[in-house]
Amino acid sequence: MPSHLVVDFTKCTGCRICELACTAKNEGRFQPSLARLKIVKYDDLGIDVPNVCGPCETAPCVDICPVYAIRRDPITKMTFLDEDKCILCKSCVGACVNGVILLDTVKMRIIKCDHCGGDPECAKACPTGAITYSDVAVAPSIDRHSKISSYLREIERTAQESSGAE
Amino acid sequence: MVAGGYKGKILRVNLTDNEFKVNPLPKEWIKDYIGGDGFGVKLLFEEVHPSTDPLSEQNKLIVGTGPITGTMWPMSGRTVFISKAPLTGIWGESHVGGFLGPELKYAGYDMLVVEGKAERPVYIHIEDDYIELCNASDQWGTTTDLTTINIKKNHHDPDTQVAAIGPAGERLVRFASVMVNHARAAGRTGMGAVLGSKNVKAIAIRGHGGVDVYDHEAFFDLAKKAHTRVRMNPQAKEMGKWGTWVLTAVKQEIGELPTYNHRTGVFSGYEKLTGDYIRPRFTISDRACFGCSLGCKKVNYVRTGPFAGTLEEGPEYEGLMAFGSSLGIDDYATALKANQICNRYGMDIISAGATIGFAIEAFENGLITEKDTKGLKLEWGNSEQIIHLLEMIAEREEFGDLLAEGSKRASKSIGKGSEKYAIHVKGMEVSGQDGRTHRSIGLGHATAARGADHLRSLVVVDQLGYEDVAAKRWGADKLPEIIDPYTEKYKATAVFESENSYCIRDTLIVCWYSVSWPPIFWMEDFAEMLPLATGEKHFGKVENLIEIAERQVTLKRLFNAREGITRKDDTLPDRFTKDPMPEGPGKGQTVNLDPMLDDYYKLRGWDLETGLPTEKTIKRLSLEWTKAHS
Repeated sequence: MPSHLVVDFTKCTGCRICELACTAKNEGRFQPSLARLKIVKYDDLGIDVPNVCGPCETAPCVDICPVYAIRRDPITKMTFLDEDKCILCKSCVGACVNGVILLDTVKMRIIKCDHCGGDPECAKACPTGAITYSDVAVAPSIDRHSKISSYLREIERTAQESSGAE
Repeated sequence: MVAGGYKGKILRVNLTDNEFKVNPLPKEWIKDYIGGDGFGVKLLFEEVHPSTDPLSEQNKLIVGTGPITGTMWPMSGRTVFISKAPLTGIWGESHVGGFLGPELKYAGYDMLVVEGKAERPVYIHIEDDYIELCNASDQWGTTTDLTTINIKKNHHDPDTQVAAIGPAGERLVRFASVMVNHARAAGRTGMGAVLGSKNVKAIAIRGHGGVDVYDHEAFFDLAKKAHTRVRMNPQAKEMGKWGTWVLTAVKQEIGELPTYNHRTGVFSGYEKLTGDYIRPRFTISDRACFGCSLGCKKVNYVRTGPFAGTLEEGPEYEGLMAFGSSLGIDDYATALKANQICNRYGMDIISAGATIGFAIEAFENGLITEKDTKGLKLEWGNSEQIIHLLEMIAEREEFGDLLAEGSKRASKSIGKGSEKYAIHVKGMEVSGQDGRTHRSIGLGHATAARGADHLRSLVVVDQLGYEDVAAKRWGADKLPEIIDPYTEKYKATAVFESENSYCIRDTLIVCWYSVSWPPIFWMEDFAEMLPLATGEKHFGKVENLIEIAERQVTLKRLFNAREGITRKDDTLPDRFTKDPMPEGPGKGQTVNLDPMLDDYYKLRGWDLETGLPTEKTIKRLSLEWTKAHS
C-alpha cells in the first residue's frame, strides 16, 4: 500500500523528538537544524505544527529543478532526490512550501526526506501519534487545521463580545 | 570534545568591558561534577566571593546545561540558571524547561557565564560563534512575551530561543523570574533580578550545530527504550492528560492543600481547582518541552467572566495553590490571569502568591492598616484585588514596593510581630506542601540549599504509599515507618537518598517528571545511560554517582556556610512546628524537626551542633580546595 507521513496537528505537543530521531538516524548525531522535518512553534498561541515532506497536491520541488534531479512517484506522490544529478542550485529549498528541503552548508549537499526508505524514524518516535506513516487515503486532510481554526474562531468571538459590551 | 555529550566550551560574556571569551571546559570537572548544577556550584564557589551583594556587578549569572542536554534522552531539554540569590542572599538556582538549553549546546557551549554590568540596557545575542551585545533600550519596560517576539523579529529567525526578564526583573523585584518560551519560568530565588541588575533584558540563542554522544547507536537505542517506558507508564499517561493538576485533589484528600497562607490544609472550594473541572472547560491544547514524551503543559483559554479572553499556558499545581487555595480563591480563571501577569511581568508565582498571602493575614490581624496600603482593604478571596496587587508589585508602586522585597524583608520592615505570618525558610517562601501532613518535606524545606524548596528533596514515595518502591530503595526493614507521613522516624534516610538522586537529575539535566514523579528512572538507569553518553566508565557505578551527589550537596552547604548559614537557619516557620493542623486527616499534627535534622546531618557527615560539614567529610569528598576560597 502506498504510504505517506500523515500529520494530525491536533495531537502535536511540539516536543521535537521527531527532529531528534530523524537526525539521530540520518546524521548519526543529534542536530535538529539538519532534520528532514520541522516543528513550527507558536508559543504565543500555544500551537505546534509539524511540517513534513508531502503529501503535496503539486510538487514545486520537482517542477523547479532545472536538471530533473527530483522525481515523483506517480502512485505515492512522494518525491525523491537524486544526489548525483543535483547541482546545488537551491531552487527546491526556496520552492518547498513546507520548508523541509535544506542546504547543508558544511557538507554542501541538499537534505531532503526520503521516508527513511519506507520506515520513517519520526513516525516511530512520535509519542502522541501526531505523525504516522500510513495509507495516503486515510489522511484527514479536512481536519488538519481544526486545532488552529476552532481556536482562532473562539478568539475572534470573544473579541467581538468584549468590544460589543463596551 | 572532552567527552561524549559535552561541547567542551564555556562562554563568558563580560558586560562591563563588552568582551567575550571562550574557555575550555576543564576535563577534571566532568568526573567530579558531571554538569548542570555541579559545574555551576563549582564555578560560583570559586568566582563569587563571600558577602558579595547579589545585585552588584560582582555577582555572576550562569546558564548551565548537562552532558545529555540536546540529545534524545527523555525530558533532557532543561536549563539551569545559577547565581547568588537576591531573594535569600545564599545559593540560588532555578531550573526551567522549554528549549533554551539545547539551543545553547547546538550553538557550541556547555555553559554561559554573564559577568559585570552593562552601561545601558542590552540583550545578549549568540548565534553559534557570533556573539554580540544588542541595544535593548527600546525593549526596556516591555513584558516578556513582547520582548521574545521582538527579538525574534530583529533577527528574522523564529527559531531563536529567548530568555527574557520583564518589568519586575528590571525593577529588581526580589523574586523576579527569567521567562523562556513565553510561559516556562526559571522562577525561584530571583534570577530575573540578577539579570535586571546587570542591565540585561534578555539572552537570545540560536545554534546550528549538533550534539555527539560517545556510543551513538547504543545510546539512541537506550533512549528509544526509555521513551517507551515513559509512554507505557500509567501515571505518566495521567500526567500527560492532567498535568500537575492531578495533585489538587490528592492534596485535598490528604489534607495538605495549603489554604489561607498555610493556615490549614483543607480548602472548601478545591473542586474548581482540580483537573477534572479545568480541562473540559478551559484547556485547548497540550504541549511539551524539548524531548519530552509526557507533555504536561496545558494551554488554557477563558471564554466568559471578568477575565474572558485570557489565553495562557499553565498554571501548574503550584500556581493553583499560590493564587487559589492559599489566597482563598476558588476560581480557575483568576489563577490563570494571575499566572499570566506573573509570566509577562516576570515574577515567581509561589513567592508572589505567598507574599500577598502574608500581607492579607497581617492586614487581617491589624498589623498593616489602610494607611499602609493607601486605602486597599486586603481580604481573602478577592480576585480583582490580587490582580491589582500583582501589577503593583511588578511595577513597585506604592504598597507593592514593600511586597516586592519578599515576605521576609517585608515582615522585618513592618515588625510588630508580623514575622509569624511570613511563611518562609531562609527568606524563600514555602511552596505548596506542608510538613505537618508530610514529615519528609518538612525536613526538605528546612535543609534545602536555596530555602523552602520542594524540588531538591521532595519524597513522593512515602506520601503516596509505594511500599514496593520504598522497600527496594531503603530496605524492607524500615517499613512501615518510612512511608508513614506522620512520623519523623527514618525520614532523614528517605530525604538523603532522594536528594542524592535528584542531584544527579539536576546535573544531567533531566526533568522532575520521570525521575521524582512518576518514579520511572532512578540511579541505576543513569548509571546505565551515562557511560554510553559520555564514555566515562566511572559513571557506570551507582556508588560513584552517589559520591558525586554528596559532593555537590555538601559543596552547596559550604557555599551557604560562607554566608553564615548554620543549623539555626535550618528551621521551619512556627506555623508548621507549633500550630497543630486545625482540620482534615492530619488534624493535630505538628513537625518535630530536631530528631530529623540530627539523623540527616549524620547521614550527610555534617556536624550535629553547627550543621556544617566536618573536616572528615570535606576530605572524603575531596573538597579541600574550598578552603582557599573562604
